[in-house]
Amino acid sequence: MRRYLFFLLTLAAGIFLQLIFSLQFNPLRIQPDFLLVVFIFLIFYSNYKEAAAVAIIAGFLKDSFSIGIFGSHIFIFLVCAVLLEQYKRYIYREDLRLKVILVFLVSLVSGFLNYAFVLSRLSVSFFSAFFLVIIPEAVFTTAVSPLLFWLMRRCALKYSI
Amino acid sequence: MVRYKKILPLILTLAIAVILLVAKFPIFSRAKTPLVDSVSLGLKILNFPFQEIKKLVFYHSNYNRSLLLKSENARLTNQMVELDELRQENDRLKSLFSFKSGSDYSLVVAQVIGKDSSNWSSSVIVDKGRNSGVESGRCVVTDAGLAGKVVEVGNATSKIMLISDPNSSVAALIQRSREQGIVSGTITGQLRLHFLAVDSDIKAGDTVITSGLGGIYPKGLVVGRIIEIGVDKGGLSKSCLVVPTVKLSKLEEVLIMAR
Repeated sequence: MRRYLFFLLTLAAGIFLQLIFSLQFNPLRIQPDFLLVVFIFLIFYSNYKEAAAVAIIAGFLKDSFSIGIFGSHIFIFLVCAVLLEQYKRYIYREDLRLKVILVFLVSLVSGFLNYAFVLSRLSVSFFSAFFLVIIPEAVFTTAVSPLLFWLMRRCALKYSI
Repeated sequence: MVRYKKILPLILTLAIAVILLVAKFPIFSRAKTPLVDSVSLGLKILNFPFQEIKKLVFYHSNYNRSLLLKSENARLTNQMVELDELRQENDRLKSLFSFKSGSDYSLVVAQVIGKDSSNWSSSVIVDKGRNSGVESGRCVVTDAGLAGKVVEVGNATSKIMLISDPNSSVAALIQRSREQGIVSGTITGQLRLHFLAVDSDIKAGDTVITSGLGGIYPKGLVVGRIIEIGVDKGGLSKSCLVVPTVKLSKLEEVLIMAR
C-alpha cells in the first residue's frame, strides 16, 4: 500500500513541478519533462503490470493539463514503458550515468512520438521540431534528471520502497 | 517466449490505448476537467511563495514603474475625457443609423495558475471557470492585446489556448494598409501572418490587429508587430513573422471577454 502511495505521490509531485516550473521560470520556453524522469525512475521499481499502470497515470496527468490530443501522452508513456521494460534488465538500477543516458534516449523517443501526433494535425518541418523542441527538451530533461533521481532515491530508501 | 509472455499486459494496455485514442471517447476527455479543477487550489498555494518572492525581489523596479504609471495615468485620464466625448458623439451617430454597439463585453479577471505540461502546445490554466461565467470559445486579452481563447472550461478553472499555439488561427489585418490574412502560432512560439497577396503593402513595424472575421475575436484587438516579411513556398502569397504585443511567456493575469 505504502509503495503505491509513493508511486502516486511521486507522479503528483512530477506534474506539479511541470506546471509550476514554466510559470515561475518563464525565460525558458522549453521546459524539462519532469514527469518523464519520475516515470523512468518508477519503472525501475515496477513489474510489468505496475509499469502499465504508472504509464497510464502519468499519461493521463500530462494529457489532463495539456490541450493536445487526449490520450496521446498515455500512448507515448505506454510505448516508453514497453521499451524500458524490455531493456531495463541490462541497466543497473543504481548506476546514475546509465540512467541519465537512458533519460536522454527516452526523451528523444517521446519527442519523436509527440512530433508524429503534431504532424497528424499540422504541417511542421522536422528540422525545426528536432532542433527547436525535441533536442532542447531532451537536454533539459537530462540535465535535471540526476537531481530528481537523487531526491527520489532518497525518498524510496527512507520509505523502504 | 516467457519474456514476451511477461510483457503481454503492457502490449495489451498499449493496444487498448491505441483503440481509445482512435475512437476518441468523449467520456475520457470529460474526465480531465474535474481533475484540473481539483488541483487548482494546490497550484495556487504552490505559486503563492514564488509570487511573494518576486514581489520582494522586484520591489525597486516596481516602485519606479509605479511612478511612471502614475504620470501615464494622469495623461490617459485627460485623454479619456476627450475620448468619452467622442464616444458619446459616436453612439449618438450610430443610434441614428441603428448600429449595434460592438463593445458589449463584460470582462472576467483571471489569474494564471499553471502552464501547459507539454512543450508542443502553448496554453495556460487560469483560476476562473464556469462558476465565474466563463464559456468555451471566449476571447482572452491583456492590457497589451490579444492573448488567446478559452478552449476547455471546468467549474473553477479554464484552459486558454494562446495565439502562439500551433493550432491557433486568428483572422487579422494590417492596421495601416488594411491587408487581411491569418495569424497562426508555431511550435517555436512565434506568430506568422499568412495568406497575404504578393503585391500587398507591408512594412516591418506595421501593427497587426484582429479583423473580426470568424466571430471569435472582436475586431480591433492588437495582435503584434511585423518584424520580418517573406514570400511563401511557390511565391503565390506573402507571409510575415509577427512579434506578439502580449508577453505570452510572462502571463500572470488575463481578462476573459464574456458577452
